Parts: sequence; C-alpha cells; structure tokens
Amino acid sequence: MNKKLFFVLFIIFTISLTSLAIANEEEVSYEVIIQDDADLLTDSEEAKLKEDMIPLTEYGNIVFLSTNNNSQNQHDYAHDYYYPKYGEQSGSVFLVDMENRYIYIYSDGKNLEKIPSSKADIITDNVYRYASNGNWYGCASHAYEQIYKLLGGSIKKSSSGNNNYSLSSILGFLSGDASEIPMPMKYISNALIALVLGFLTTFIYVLKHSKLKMPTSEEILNNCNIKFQVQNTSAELAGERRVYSPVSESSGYSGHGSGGHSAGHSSHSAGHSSHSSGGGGGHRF
Amino acid sequence: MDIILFNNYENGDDMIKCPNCTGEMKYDPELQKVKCEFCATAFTIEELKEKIKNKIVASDVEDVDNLNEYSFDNSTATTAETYEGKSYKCTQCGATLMTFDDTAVTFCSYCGSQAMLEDKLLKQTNPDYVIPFKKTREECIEAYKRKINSFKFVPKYMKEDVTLEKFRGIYMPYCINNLKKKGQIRNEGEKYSHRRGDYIYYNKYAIKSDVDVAYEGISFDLSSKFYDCYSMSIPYNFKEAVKFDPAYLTGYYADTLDVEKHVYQDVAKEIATPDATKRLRKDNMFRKYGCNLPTISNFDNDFKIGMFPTYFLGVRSKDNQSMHYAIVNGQTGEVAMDLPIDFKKYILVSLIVGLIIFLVLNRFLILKPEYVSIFSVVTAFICLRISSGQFKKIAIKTEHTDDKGIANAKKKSTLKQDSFIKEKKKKKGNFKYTYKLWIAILLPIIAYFTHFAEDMVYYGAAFISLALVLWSFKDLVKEHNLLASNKLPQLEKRGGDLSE
Repeated sequence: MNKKLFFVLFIIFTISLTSLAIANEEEVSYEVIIQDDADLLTDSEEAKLKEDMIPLTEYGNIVFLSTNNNSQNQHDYAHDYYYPKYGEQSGSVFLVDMENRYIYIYSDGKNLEKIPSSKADIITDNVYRYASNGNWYGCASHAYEQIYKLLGGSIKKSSSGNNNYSLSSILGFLSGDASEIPMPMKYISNALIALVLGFLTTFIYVLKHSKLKMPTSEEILNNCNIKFQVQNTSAELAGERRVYSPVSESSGYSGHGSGGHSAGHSSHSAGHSSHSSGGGGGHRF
Repeated sequence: MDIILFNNYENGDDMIKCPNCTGEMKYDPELQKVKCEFCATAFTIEELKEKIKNKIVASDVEDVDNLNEYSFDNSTATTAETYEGKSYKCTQCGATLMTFDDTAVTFCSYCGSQAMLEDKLLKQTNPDYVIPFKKTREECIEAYKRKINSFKFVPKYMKEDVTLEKFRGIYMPYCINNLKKKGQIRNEGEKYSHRRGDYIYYNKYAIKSDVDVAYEGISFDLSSKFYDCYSMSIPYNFKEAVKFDPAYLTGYYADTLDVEKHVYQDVAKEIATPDATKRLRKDNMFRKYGCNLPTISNFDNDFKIGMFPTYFLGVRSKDNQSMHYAIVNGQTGEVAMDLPIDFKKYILVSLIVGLIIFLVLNRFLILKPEYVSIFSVVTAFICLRISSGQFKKIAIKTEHTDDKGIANAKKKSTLKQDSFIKEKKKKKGNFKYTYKLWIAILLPIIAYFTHFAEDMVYYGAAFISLALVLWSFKDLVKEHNLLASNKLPQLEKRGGDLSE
C-alpha cells in the first residue's frame, strides 16, 4: 500500500516538476536595455533604437552599452555587465568603447551559437564606418539588423515569393551559410587565399613529380658484383692514452646538487572562477 | 684465324652478313639474338661466330671475294682489340655518333640539328663489356608515354608522334670501376681501460684483418654529351653485362667516349667505402676493441670500359633555344627525362584545386585582414624560397658544375672554358624573377606599421600582396622550365650556333 502511494506521489511530483520547468521556460521574457553612459545617442535616437531592438528579444536579451571609461578588454567589460544580470541566458550586447575607440559584440547562451566571434567580427567590420563618422545610431541599428538576420538564419524571400538569387546568397549557399550578412571581404580574401593555395599545392606537386630520381648507394651496389671476405681479425695493444678528468668534476655522483622535492607553494588560480562562456568580436573605429 | 664480324667497309658494306643468305643482320633485343633482316634466321652471338668460322673453313681459300662477305679485308681489318663503324659528326655541337649498318644519321640526338656530316671510318678500342639491349624501341616508347601520361602538365609537343620517332637506341660508353682490396687491412680502436687518480686511461689497439673484397661494376658514363644528371638516374645492372662483341651493336648507334676513365674513381670509392664499413662492422672484433667505423682505404681500381644501352630522345623547346632530353634505360626500361610544364595546363589544374579549396575554406574560415596579410607574407616567403632554390639548381645545371665528365672534357677540348652566366648577370636575373615577391612581403608589413583603423588599407595591402604572389607563379613555372631544359650543346662549342 505504502509502495503504491509512494509510486503515485513520485509520478505526480515528477509531472509537476516537468510542467513547472516548461512553464518557467515559457515564462522567460527577454529585455531590451540601453545603457548609454558615453551619451552617444539623443533621446529620439534611443527611442528609435529601442524599437529596432525589440524584434531581437524573440531570441534573447539585447543590450546597447557605451562607455567612456574602460580599463578592461571589451570582452570582459561586456561580460561583467551582462553576466551578473542575466547569467547564462541567451542575449547579445553591442558595446561602444569610446576610451579605446572600439566596437564589440558580445553574445551568450543560444545567441552565441548563432553569433560566434567570427560572425561578430564580420558585423563589426560591416558597421565600423558608421562609428568612424560618429553615426552611433546608424552603427548600432545596422549591427542589430545583422544580428537579427543571423539569429533568424533563413534566406529572405523576395516579395514575389521566389528565392532571391543574389551573388551573396549563392556564395552563402555554397559556403553553407544561409544568413545574408554581407561578407564581401571574406569571399575576396578566401578566393585569393584559395587561389594561392591552389597554385602553390599544384606547383609543389609538379616539383615533386618532375624531379630526376637519383639512386641511393645501396641501389647502385645492388647492381654490382660484390665479394666481401674478412678473416683472421685480430687486435693487439698498440699504446695507451690518458685523459685528465678530475674525480670531483666527474658526473659519477648524481646524488648531490640541487635535487629535492618541489616543496614550493603550489599556486592555484584563486581568483573568482569566472563564467567562461560568452564570446564576441569587435573592431577599432 | 680471327673471326671478324664486320665486312669490308671499302666495298660499302660494313654490316654483319647472314651466313645463310648474306642478308643484313641486326641484334634483336626481344630474342636476345642476332637476326637476319632477310631470311629471319636468328643466332646467338656464339652460334653466329661458329657458323661464320665453319663457313670460312669450308669455303675455297682462293675465293677471296666469297670470303670477304663474312670477314674484313686484310687491308682494313680490325685487330681483336678494335671495332669500327661509320661515324657521323654534328657540325653544330660536335657530337659524334657511330653506326654499324646502312642507316645514315640524319639528325643529331643531342642538339636536334640536321647538319650531320658523314665522317671517316672510325676505329674504336674494344670495350671490355656490353650490356645488350633488352627493351625494344616499342617498349621504350611505351615507358616514355607512361611517364608523360603520369605527369599531366607536359606540353603537347613532347607527346607528338614526330617527337617519338626521334627516339634512338644508342650504346653509351661507360667506365666500370672494379674496386678491389686483397690482403691485410689495418684499423685502430680505443677502449676504456681504467681510472687512476684524476686520469682516465684508454687502450689503443691495432686491428688487423685479412680481406678479399671486390666491388665490380660501379659504372659512370664517359660521354660528355650524356649529362650525369640523366645517366646517374638510370642505373644499369652490371650483373647482366657480357663480354663485348661488336655484333651487339648492330642495328644501333654508339656514342664515342671523350671523358677520361679515372674521373669518377673517387665517386666510386665514396659509394663503396660506407658499404665496406657496414659489412666490416658485422665482425664483432672491431666493436670489441673500440673501432666503430672500420674502413678499407686504398682500394685498387681496375678500370674497364663498357657499352650500355639507352634510348635517347632530344627535343628542342618551343622557342628553339634549349633541349629537353628523355632517356630510357635499354636494359631496365627506367625513364629519366626533363618534364617541362605547359603553363595553360598548370593554370587550369590550379584553378580547379583553388575552387575546391575555396568551397572548403568558406565553410569555416573568416579571416581578419591582418591574418590575410600574414598568410600572403608567408606564401610569398615560401615562393621566394622555392625560387632561390630553383635558381641555384639552374646555375649548377647551366654551368655543369656537378658534372665531372663535362669538366674533364672541357679541359681537353674546344668546349668553352669561360662561365656561361656571369655571377652579376645571375643575380640580376634572379631579382628580375623575384622582385614581385619582395613587394608582396613588404606591402603588408608597411600597412601593418601604419596602424590605420581603416580595414581597406590592410585588405588592400593583403590583396595586392596575394595578387603578386599569384603573378609570381608564372615566373616559378618559367624557372622550372629552365631547369627542365638544357642549353643547346653548340653554345658550349666555339663556332656553334642555334640553327637546326
């Protein structure tokens, strides 16, 4: 009887826990934060940017961060802002570091899977010119637009419903990258690198295969008649040689010297075990 | 009575006659016999000798005309130590080829010139050995085709039938080094004995052995026209050499020797000595008495001369300025040949490889501009390294500094003594080919030190650098083709010109 009751209670407990977890997951709502400490945006720009950022909350928290005062690297600065607030929740931070004149995109959680460092680099490559011109709103807005494309991850259909066969979409398809972030430099540099590697590997192949092969001494001698008889080998003492080698300098006693166990302090990284996830990429401007 | 195989040259008949029908006889590599071109009877060399001997004995001694069909006229008779044939001399490069039948030499295998002059009857000292042809001309051409088909970049003119027709079976003169040592050799050994105070004592030993050692058949070619880089790469199996008989030469050409036979004796010793050491070390006595590298020094060298079979092909390059050689070993079928590159084929293959790499790279590689620059600098360095390596080899090949035979022939002949390429010219020529690579290295470095925020500066420098690296491959191919060709032999002969 007790066993049955225990089993029923266990089932109820498990089901309620599972539904609670599902409910929790459903309940997670992502935020938009604009923390413009460097005062780069006007009020109207902030409002417009917030509107631009809202669609991204479908995928995670979305933060605009600017600072005039940063002694850390950009990754740590963005991480130290994001992690205490949201932990490992999905989200992205667009950071404008005015002190180091650097823009940086930090992502965490599921967003990080879609926007790894290499992709973050591409986005900042594409928008850094706005930052160079002081167009902070344009810079952030375009960055969010491209982040959104990456998070959405599907090729947009044209208004007629047909696929858009642009060069970038074809290249994107060939490279297995369905997003439509413009990456002209990636394609040009990869094309040139591939060409150089193609020419180089072909040339090395040519060099290797066009060489005249010289036979080894062994191969030459295999083609000869060889007779080799050695008999009556004998040795006789022909003299003596002495070498000065003081005993004190000899290496016969290896016991002394600077042996011993390593009793020094075993240092361990006692610093706070920081959360190691999160990543991103950036660009000077 | 000596059996003389070549008939009376004065009568315009310098061939071996069939004992049955007096038809022309030629050596057949497939049968390994001398075969009559007319009645198809085949004889081994011994059988032929026996037949002719019997014929002579059986014939009427007074019937001199009849006798002459099988032997030399006494007035031009060779002794047992010499053989003779018609010689043809190239008016351009000075090469001499001998024939032993009615075949006329219409072109020179070494320089491609068609200005061959029939020279006098040439008498040569009998070599000691001959390795008879084992591969037929058809087998040789097959081996050549296999080689060029395995290398897809060869220009079309190397494959044409007209080119293949120029393959010639030529017996090349070789020096056979027979290194011998019989008697007592002495080596020294040293072994730890004991320590006394601050001194360590070693005992020295004199190690004596009775040896009977012989390395027979380490061979090197003795024709300066037959460059060492080719002859060395098609080694012959001396174990199959037989005693020389002029009958083996019938149906083929023969080159004449112009290099002294002692020239390669040091090389022969360098080959034999490490082997001797290796074999001596098997005797534990040497190790026991502290002799780790026992040697046999002062080999006696008994030089012999041999005629070794090659199929030789010389093809003029498209610009008519150089020669590509292909040599097939007539005994083993091994091929040593120059493999120039057709630039168009090279580009096509490179583009296909590049496209595949591009598709693979796009899957995972997104490089920052500075890394693209680093890549271009690294590849430019690799290309520079390849280029300077090729230039060194070109200089060696052009000057033949690694060819002992040519150095020896130069000493005693009209071959130009002066350097073909002056050092200054060489350096200038080198820079002409490599300046693009230097720019490709410097450009990204300069861009890096400017510290521009603008990506386009780095990308621009990296892209120009990569483009220059790509352009330099044209020069690398040119250098390779220089390396895969030989200057016309007449350029080394006073009075020689470039005409065909």
